[in-house]
This record gives sequence, structure tokens and C-alpha cells, in this order.
Amino acid sequence: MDTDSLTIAVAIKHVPVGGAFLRAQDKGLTREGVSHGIDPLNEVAVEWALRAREAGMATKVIVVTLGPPSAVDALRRALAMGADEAVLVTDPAFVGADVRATARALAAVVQRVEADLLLTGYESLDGSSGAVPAAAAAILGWPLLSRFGDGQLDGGALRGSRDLGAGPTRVEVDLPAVVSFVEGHVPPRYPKLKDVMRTRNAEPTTLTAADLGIGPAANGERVIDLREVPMAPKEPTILDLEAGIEALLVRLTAEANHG
Amino acid sequence: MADPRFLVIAPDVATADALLGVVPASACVDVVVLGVGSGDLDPATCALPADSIRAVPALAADADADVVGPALVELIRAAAVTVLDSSQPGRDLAGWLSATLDRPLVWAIDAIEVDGGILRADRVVLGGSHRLVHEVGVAAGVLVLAKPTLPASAQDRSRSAPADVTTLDVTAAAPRVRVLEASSDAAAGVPLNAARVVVSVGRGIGGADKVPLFRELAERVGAAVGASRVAVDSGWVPFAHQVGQTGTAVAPDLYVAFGISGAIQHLAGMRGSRSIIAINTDVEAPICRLADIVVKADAVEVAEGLLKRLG
Repeated sequence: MDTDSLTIAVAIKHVPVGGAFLRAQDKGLTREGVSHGIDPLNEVAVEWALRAREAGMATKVIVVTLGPPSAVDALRRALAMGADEAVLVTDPAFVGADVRATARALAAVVQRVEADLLLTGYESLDGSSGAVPAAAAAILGWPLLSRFGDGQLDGGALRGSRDLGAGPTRVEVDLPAVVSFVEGHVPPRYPKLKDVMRTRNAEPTTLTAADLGIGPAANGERVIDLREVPMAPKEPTILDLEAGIEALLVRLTAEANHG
Repeated sequence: MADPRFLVIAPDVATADALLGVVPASACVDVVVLGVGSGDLDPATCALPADSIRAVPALAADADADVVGPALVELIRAAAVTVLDSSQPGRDLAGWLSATLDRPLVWAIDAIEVDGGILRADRVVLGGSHRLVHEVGVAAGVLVLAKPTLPASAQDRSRSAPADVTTLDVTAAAPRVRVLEASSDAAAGVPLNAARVVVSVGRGIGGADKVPLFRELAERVGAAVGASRVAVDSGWVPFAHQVGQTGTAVAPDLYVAFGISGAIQHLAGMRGSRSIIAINTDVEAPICRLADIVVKADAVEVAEGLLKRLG
């Protein structure tokens, strides 16, 4: 691997944001009519990639998304932050793409742009299977560094901190690799107005399923129903500091003795 | 058509018990527990409602997917439905398997039915107001990331014969992600998925320096420590403590939420609690709509007051 010309691909997603969420429609969920933006978790990965480039450890940052044509907004946001290039994979064949189809599309783009690193969030805000990074790593044959917080590139290796459950652990992996990020360690920059203006009509490289030589996955799951869960409205008892401490003491010690 | 065979892969026995709670009661099911030998298992383990339990000492409970996957891939290929837990190692393994075996994956599943070669799986969506139902054919194999709510041991699932417990010897590949320095903060205390009482902390406690106060409170009353995604992502509390869609789903007798506003992702993991007390200065916070009692006060002041009274 040529470490003098390291390319970082960052997978991003255009998701429902700002407290709005997916909507119930007929017997399924829809994203239509919900305000969308770049997944905040993806901004963390973009920020980390930009810092690596600014530190001279990488030469190019390419953002890639799979989605409808409107997903270009997420790419433009990343371009305004400072990404060098953007790739939009869009095709009716990918509507409702599952973990496999999404991972195949991302892996195909990574190979096409000859990236050395694929950065992702550990899950997306709306899909949230949290399984796409590992699926992409399996297809590429690359190791996955999961739930990465922050760290540095050093030649052909990446060193830093991850937390799989038991607390932060310092780890190291050789490139190429897939890295999934958590929030909270690398605060993303806010794009400057002039960069937002400069990129507001930027057109990404657009690829279809045929361009990538892939299609939807076989034997996929399908949503057959959306059922409302009846919920009795609760009227909580509101207590002040003193009364609250009394109530908590009773409940906590009762449960403790019972256990 | 023969009944589909289930395979449950778990990082420990408590998780295996929880995952079995999602599997249909009548199913043929084999269990794999990572990171232990059969000799290390509590004898009570063979009471789990399973046909066989295989302990795999060669694979660490949190080993990477490209280590666990290749070692277990033939076992998984032979199973119609493989059920995994929703921890990050579980999700990574599910993603690795989905791509490698070309099998569909459903996630956040809390109920499964199998009928005539079709698997029907449910998950909670839209902050708990709805359930989404998926269907997928089992003939070509299915992967399920489960979000259990009631462990098998809490359901009436006793079997006439105890499970056959053996050690499974596999060769584990060297991990490609190398650990340089292990964490010093192992997830100490009562495990979340077995706790009767959970003391949970969020952004409103103010910072990492306040966490020991709540850990002490939890220890004093025998509770597990939970946390919101914000508290975990900010590095205040290890990920093992995260309650929610991403972390552990809990349903204790009592859930005490200190300074947690109640993002949808958090509520999805604790709304099954029998009783909920929220400590929050903002009584309009979303979590207060689920609470039985809201204490309108500063989380730290309440914790300090409680510790003083507990003596």
C-alpha cells in the first residue's frame, strides 16, 4: 500500500433529523414528509477524516452515500465541511436495500475509488441494525475496527481507542480497514457559510446498480404489518427534592430487601 | 417440512437465557456460549430450555466477527435461524455472517414465530407506539439480532430432559485488530440484563466526575448502573452500561432515571420496566411521560441526599 497517497472513503446517510422520525403509513414506515439531513454520527467520521488529511496523513477524503437523489444534500453538507469528492449511488433497485445490498454497494464504491480506509458510524439513526460496517468489511476482506472513538494514522496502521462494552481499550490495526465511529470524541466542525454557498449546487459522481454490477439481495425480509401498541396515558406524581428523596428511599430499600 | 433448527450464540449464560426467551418455546434449539469451557459453567446452566449447550473456550466473548465467524460458520450454516444478542460484537457478527453466507438479517427483534417455513419477527418502532412485523423465508437461513424482554427462565419453559452440555474445540484465527492496552474499567457490579433495580444516569448529572456518586448509590441498594447514549458516548460510563435501542434492553422492577431526558432510542430500551422514577429538573422531558413518579430536582442533589440518608 502506498501510504503517501492514502484515500479515505466515508459512508454517510441522509436520515430523518431534528426530533422528527419515520412516519407510520399504511402497514409500514415511510421517510416521506419527514425533514432530513446528514446523520450527525457521520459528521464525526467526516471530521476525523478531514483532520487526518489536514495532518498530512491522508491525501483525499471521498464521501459516499446510497439513497434517493435527494440524499445529495448529505453529500453537499460533507463537501461544505471539506470533503474532496462525493459519490451518490442511486437506483430504484436499491429502494429498501437491506444490510447485504447496502454493504455490497459501499464495498464496490470503495474498490472503485481505491480507498485504503472506509469510515462509517456504528449504526445509522434511522436503520440502526448496526451491522452494515461488518458486512462491508466481510465483503472487502478487511478487518473491522468497531466503535472507534479517536486515534491516529501512523504509516500503514491506525492506533486508537475503542469501547466494545468494558470501557476504552487501546487497539491497533493495519490498513486497509473499515472503522465504525461513536460520537463524543471528535466534535465535527460547522461548515462556513461561504463553503455552504460554494457547494450548494455541487454534483456528485452518480452511480447505478449496473455501474457497480450489483443488485438487490435474494430472499430478503419484507415488512408485512405495522400494529399500534395501545398505551394508557400516565399521569406521574410530581415530587420536590425532599419528598422525592423519601419516596426513592422507600422504593430502593424495599426492592433491595426483596432481592 | 421439518421444524427449523435454531442456534443461539451468546457471550455468557445470562444472555443465552435472555435470547432463548425470544425463541419459540417448542423449537429445537442449540446454544453456543463463548469464552467459557463446559467445566466452568454453573451446573444449573443445563436447565436452560435447549437441546444442547456448547461452551467455546477458544473464542472470547467480545472477539471480533472475523475471528468468531470463520470458527463457527459451519455450525451457523447448518442452522435455519441463528439468534444473536444486540451488543456491538453481536451486531458485527450478524453483519459478517449476513454478507458471508448471503442470509437476510432482521434486528431489534423481541418476538419470533415460525409457521410453514416463514419466520415472522416483530420489533418495537416509533418510540414504542407501534410494532413492525417482518416476514422472511427460513429455508435459505435467517439471522436474528434479538432484543429480549423476558428471559426464558422467567417463562414457563421447563423441559423434561436437561440440555446436553459439551465443550466445542475450535481454532481461532489471530485477531487483526490488536489490543495494545486493555481497559482497566471492566463493567463491574450487577449485570444490567439480570437486575431487579437499575440506577441510570444521563447528561443531566453534569459530568464524568459525578458518576462515582451514582455507582456508590447503585452498589448500596444492589442495583445495576445504566446510562443513556449521551453519557456513554461522552466517555462517562463504559458502553456495557448503555440502556436503549443500541445497548441493553432492560425490564426491571424499578428503573430510576437520573438526569435522562428520554430520547426515543433510550426509551426503547427501558419502557418495559414495571415502575419508573425520573429525576429531572424539567418535568416536560419525554421520560416523564413514562414515569410513575417524577422528582423535580437536581439529580446530584437527590443522589447526595439519598446517600446521606442511607448512612
